[in-house]
Amino acid sequence: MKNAEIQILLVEDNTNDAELTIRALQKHKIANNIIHLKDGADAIDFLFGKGIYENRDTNNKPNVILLDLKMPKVDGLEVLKVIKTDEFTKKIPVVMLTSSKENPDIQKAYALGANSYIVKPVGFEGFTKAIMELGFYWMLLNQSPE
Amino acid sequence: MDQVVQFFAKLFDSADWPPRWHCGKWTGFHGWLYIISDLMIWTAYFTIPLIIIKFISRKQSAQFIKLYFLFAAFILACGSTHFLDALAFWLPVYRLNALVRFITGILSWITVYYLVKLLPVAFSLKSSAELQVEIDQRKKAEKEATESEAQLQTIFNAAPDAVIIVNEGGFITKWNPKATELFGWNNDAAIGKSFSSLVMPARNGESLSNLFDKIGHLTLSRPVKTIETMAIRQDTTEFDIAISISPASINNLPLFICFARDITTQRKSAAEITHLNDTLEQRVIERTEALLYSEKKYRELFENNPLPLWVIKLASLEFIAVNEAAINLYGYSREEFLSMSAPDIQPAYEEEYLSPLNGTVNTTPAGSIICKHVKRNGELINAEVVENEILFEGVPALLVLSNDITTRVKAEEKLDRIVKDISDYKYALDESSIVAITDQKGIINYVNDKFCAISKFNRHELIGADHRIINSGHHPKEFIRNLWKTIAGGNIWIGELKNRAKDGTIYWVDTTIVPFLDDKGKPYQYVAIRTDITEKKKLEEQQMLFVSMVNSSDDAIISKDLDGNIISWNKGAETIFGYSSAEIIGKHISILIPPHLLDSEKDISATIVAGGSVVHYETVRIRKDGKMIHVSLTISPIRDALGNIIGASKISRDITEQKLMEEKLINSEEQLRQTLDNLVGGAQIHDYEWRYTYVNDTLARYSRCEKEDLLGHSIFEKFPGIEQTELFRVMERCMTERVTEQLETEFTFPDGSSSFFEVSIQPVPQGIFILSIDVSQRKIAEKEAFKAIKDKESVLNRISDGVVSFDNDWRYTFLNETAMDINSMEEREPLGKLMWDVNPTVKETIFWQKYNEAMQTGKVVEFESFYAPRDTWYFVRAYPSANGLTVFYKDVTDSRKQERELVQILKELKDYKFALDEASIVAITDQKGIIQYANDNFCKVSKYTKEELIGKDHRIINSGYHDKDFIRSLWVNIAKGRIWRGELKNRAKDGSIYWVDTTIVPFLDENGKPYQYVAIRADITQRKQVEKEILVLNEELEKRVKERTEELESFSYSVSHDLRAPLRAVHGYASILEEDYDKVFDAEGKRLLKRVQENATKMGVLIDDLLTFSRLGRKEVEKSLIDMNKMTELIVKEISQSNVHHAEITFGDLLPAMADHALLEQVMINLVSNAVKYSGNNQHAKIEINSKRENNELVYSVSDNGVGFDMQYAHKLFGVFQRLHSVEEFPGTGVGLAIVQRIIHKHNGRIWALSEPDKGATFYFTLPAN
Repeated sequence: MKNAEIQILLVEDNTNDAELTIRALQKHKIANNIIHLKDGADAIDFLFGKGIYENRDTNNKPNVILLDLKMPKVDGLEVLKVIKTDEFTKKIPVVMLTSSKENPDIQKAYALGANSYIVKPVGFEGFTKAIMELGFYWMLLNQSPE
Repeated sequence: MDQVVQFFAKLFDSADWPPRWHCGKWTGFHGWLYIISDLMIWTAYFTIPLIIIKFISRKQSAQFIKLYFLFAAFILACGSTHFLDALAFWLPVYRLNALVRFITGILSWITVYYLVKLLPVAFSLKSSAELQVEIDQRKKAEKEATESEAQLQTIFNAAPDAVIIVNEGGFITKWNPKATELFGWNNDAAIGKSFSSLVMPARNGESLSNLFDKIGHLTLSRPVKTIETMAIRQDTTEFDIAISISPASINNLPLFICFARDITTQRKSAAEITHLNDTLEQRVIERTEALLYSEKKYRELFENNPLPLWVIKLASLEFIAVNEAAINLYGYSREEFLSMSAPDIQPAYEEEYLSPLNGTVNTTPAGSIICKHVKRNGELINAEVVENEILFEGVPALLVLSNDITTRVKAEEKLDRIVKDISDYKYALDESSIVAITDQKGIINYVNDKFCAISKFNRHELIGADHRIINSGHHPKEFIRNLWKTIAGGNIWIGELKNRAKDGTIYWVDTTIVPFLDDKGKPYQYVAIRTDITEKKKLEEQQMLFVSMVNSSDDAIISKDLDGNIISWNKGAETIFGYSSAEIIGKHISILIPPHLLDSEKDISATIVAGGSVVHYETVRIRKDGKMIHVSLTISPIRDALGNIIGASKISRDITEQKLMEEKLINSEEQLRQTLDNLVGGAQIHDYEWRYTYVNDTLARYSRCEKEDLLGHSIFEKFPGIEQTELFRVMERCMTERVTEQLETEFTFPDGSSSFFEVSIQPVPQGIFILSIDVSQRKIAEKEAFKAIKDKESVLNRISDGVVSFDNDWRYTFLNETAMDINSMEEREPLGKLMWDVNPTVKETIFWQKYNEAMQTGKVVEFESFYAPRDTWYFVRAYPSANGLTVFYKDVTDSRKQERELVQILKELKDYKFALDEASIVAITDQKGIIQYANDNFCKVSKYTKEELIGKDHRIINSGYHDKDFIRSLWVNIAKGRIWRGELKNRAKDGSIYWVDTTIVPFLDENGKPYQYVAIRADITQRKQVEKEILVLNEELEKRVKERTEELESFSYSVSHDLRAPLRAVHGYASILEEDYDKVFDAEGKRLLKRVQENATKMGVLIDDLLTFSRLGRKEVEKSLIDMNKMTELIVKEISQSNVHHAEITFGDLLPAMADHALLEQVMINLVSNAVKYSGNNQHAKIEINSKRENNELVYSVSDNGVGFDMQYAHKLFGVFQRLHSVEEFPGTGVGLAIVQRIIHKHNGRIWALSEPDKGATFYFTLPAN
């Protein structure tokens, strides 16, 4: 597990959303190895091998990061900024998750280098579909440059 | 019968027959086969009834039980026959055998009978195969039942909701773990409880048991009733619960299946949404109130503002609001105003707005311009207009503040004119005159170049100095005091002043001092305008000298023209000749000449005409009394400016006595010597050797030596070089020719000094006698007199002053050319005439008074007066003397006119200044900005006293508000001589701030450099404040709107985020249940799950609608021209595709609209789909869309023939979450029309609806036509 390829890093504080996302990804066989972290600080630690992830092989980078915009402590935009400004991580595609397409942070996210975003719809089907499309796109079609 | 008895008696007797083995030929095999078969049949037949009986005994409810017994008996009987057959091989009891068979036979027939009777029944029973199938099926079913029961149990136990089975009596018979979890009671404790006891009556008051009863009666329809109420847990806590009850029955026992769900969270979120919505509404209300308050205040400010104010649309310039002051000023009614646009009151609108105004007059502070406005009555006014861009009811607009400054502009124009006039005059004055300005104490503030030139002081030396610096000390104190009294009293002083330049030279200036008065009539500065009259004054003095000399000389001084007519006649002449001037002037000179000398007089005239002079010509003249007198005449020509000889002056001396003395001298030698010794003249006698033989004391004195130094000495010895002189030549002639000679000569003594002598040389016996009189003094006087005469010519020609002399009887004794010219007189005409004969009206004039005054007081009188007959102003100076009065007068009309105009201007300025002082804040500073004058208003507004202000810098009232660049540009402008206009913020003494509209006018010296600044200010603090207040208020309004928008935005965002998350979870988990637990749920369970999902989705839609609605509030309207036909067509098509409906939608030719495409589309979609929805119940639904133009508006309508609504609820139509129908009747969230209204309002349109229940509804909305 430790050395297995991390397919998706999901950073999401809402456990419900996280569970539904993971389930949708797995159900559609998009990814099996999903790392779920509950806040932005954790995500940064994970990516850069700090804190409790000190011994992690940071070269094992996720193929795609699903990043919730609104999180406690370090929010999605901050995490995005760190990811996209560090040479080490900037090439990892980052997809923002948001509750509403009205969110003004979406524009900020694009400005910071986000690759895409998904609005989490209320309907589960819609959610699954969105996750699925996203997953296919980023996992299968959009080959990571590395 | 015996046989029967015997038969039964011997029933078990086998004796009558051999055993069977012995009957016939039985082989063992044959016999045993027979026996065993019979025994087998018997045993079998014996077993069957046992089995039947056994089963029957078990199966109590089995049918055909008699038949079974009969059949058992029949089988048993059959079996018995076979047993008896087998027994017969050893024991032949045939009788028993027969009896058994008989019984068997009977039983068989009974069986037959019953079979026949029950066969139809028996056939209806399933065959065994059938039975088997059935059994199999049953077994399967049983199995399935078992499984499904297990599943049910699982579902029952695992159901996400509490499932409670309640029997007909309302008691719980079954209860799943979820129920335990929910209610707290465990299974055992719960069963048998009344379900109602756990649940409170529903909100509508219906108790659960009532509900059970109700449902119980309607078993067939199996309705599911859902109620939401409160329930009580075991621990007595209460919670929200939703219970769905459906009736069911088991073994014909009716019961109820209840699904119960804790909806506390859901309720909470619903309550939260409601609360959030309430909060939102509350905030909107609060904001609206705040806005209304602001608006009210704004309105008050706007409406009650004393300054005319209006608001015009930025795009169309149409008036959209106007205040009372504007209505009052312009004369239009409010309605008229609101139907006009800005160019209606400002015809040159484009021009004035598009072309920036040039020049100082219209340069106004930033944001304010001066426009020409037309009132309703056609009157043109100047309006100072300040514009501010604002958002007015969401429309970009201009708030225009108009200030009628017509009066001010007029005043300013006048001031400009006056200032210009003054500048012109000043320029002219500076060019021509010596100008100085002093403060009220006489300290010089300003001098022009001419002043410096004449006074020989430089400017630095003069400015700040007192006028005493140029005081010559000539004028008596009283004179100076009078001057000060005059000007301090605010009057103009005119006079001639003698001043001393830096180098001590004296100069005369004709001076006009104009006091400038403050608002109290006190002078605060004096402008002194001077003309250099030194030359004139000198001439005048000379002339005076001449006149007095002429008048006082004992010699007769007479002037005559070329024709010999006497034109002047002095006192001496009167004495010598006895004629008074009045008698003789104008007469011919010949009157004085004895007839025999007339010829020689002609020769003299010829000499004079030829330019020569006659000196000391001794001749005889006739006095008035006829007495002949000896006179010595000196005659010189009088020339005009061109050198032409126009007359002659004659000085006659009476030498009668002298002559007589000479005669006496000759008569008596002794007497002569004595006489000679005592003679005032010098006497000398030379012998023929030119030696002095006699000298008297006088001569010795004349010769600057003692008598002894001369006597016996030769004249050549005493005066070397004398032989070269004219005197010697005459002496020589007398010596040799013995003729008497006379001459006047200047003799230069060896010491270099010289004297004039009148010399008379006579031959005497001893040689020659020379009598000499030192006439140096007289000569000088004469010379001066000549010079005076010559100068007089120049004076006459060089100055335009008129000179007139009168004698004590007011007869003209002298008029110079100017005087004659002034009086249009012929030469000499008035001479000798009385003043009032020449000038009949003179006694009525001030001239007469003043002349008299001079004559009586003996003092020089100066005055200036207007002489009406000649329409001329004269400056007159009258010099009285013993002989009469000499008057100099000068035509000062031009300068007086100038002065008068200046005075007029000054008066105007004074009037204006008065008005200005009344109305404005006025201050005057010097070129360095030092305040020299401040009026009362200045003091009032600045709260400083005059004393505190004067001498101070303007910085005393500097508020520090304006940046350095601003102040610098002000100074640069005024220092360049430009008028500066602007608004200044000043600080009063007490620190209070005031705004002044300021005009600074620089007063320029002849070099174009300002020497003082007049600042005219108007207090505009109030206007400024209003302006500021309005701007602040507007800004605040905008800020509040922005704040509110931002607040709502963040609020919307958190609503969308925070409320959606739990919804997503509810929906998501329900979907997982649906997908992954498909088999666990029965149809009802799945239906309920669907309901959960539907509700979650609906709540999502609600949130979205709410967000859409609130988002509309901040969406910018982007207008474009919209083809409404095309749009409607697409919308109708789309609605027909996505909804199944049978409405017939028609629309006329719709007018194109100017609107935001996306928003208007939303409006049309909402209105048309509403029409479709609410006419859904009508089989012949018809929807019509129309448009028309009405009063500058486009009116669109959407009508349907659906359910309509009651007009009394019309006001609720457009409210958020307001619905007039239940969701069951017509679905919807109650946001659609609110969105429509908001969009229409954003387009400045209106929306309303007309309807009647069941008769359809028409929705109208308008859009502005342009």
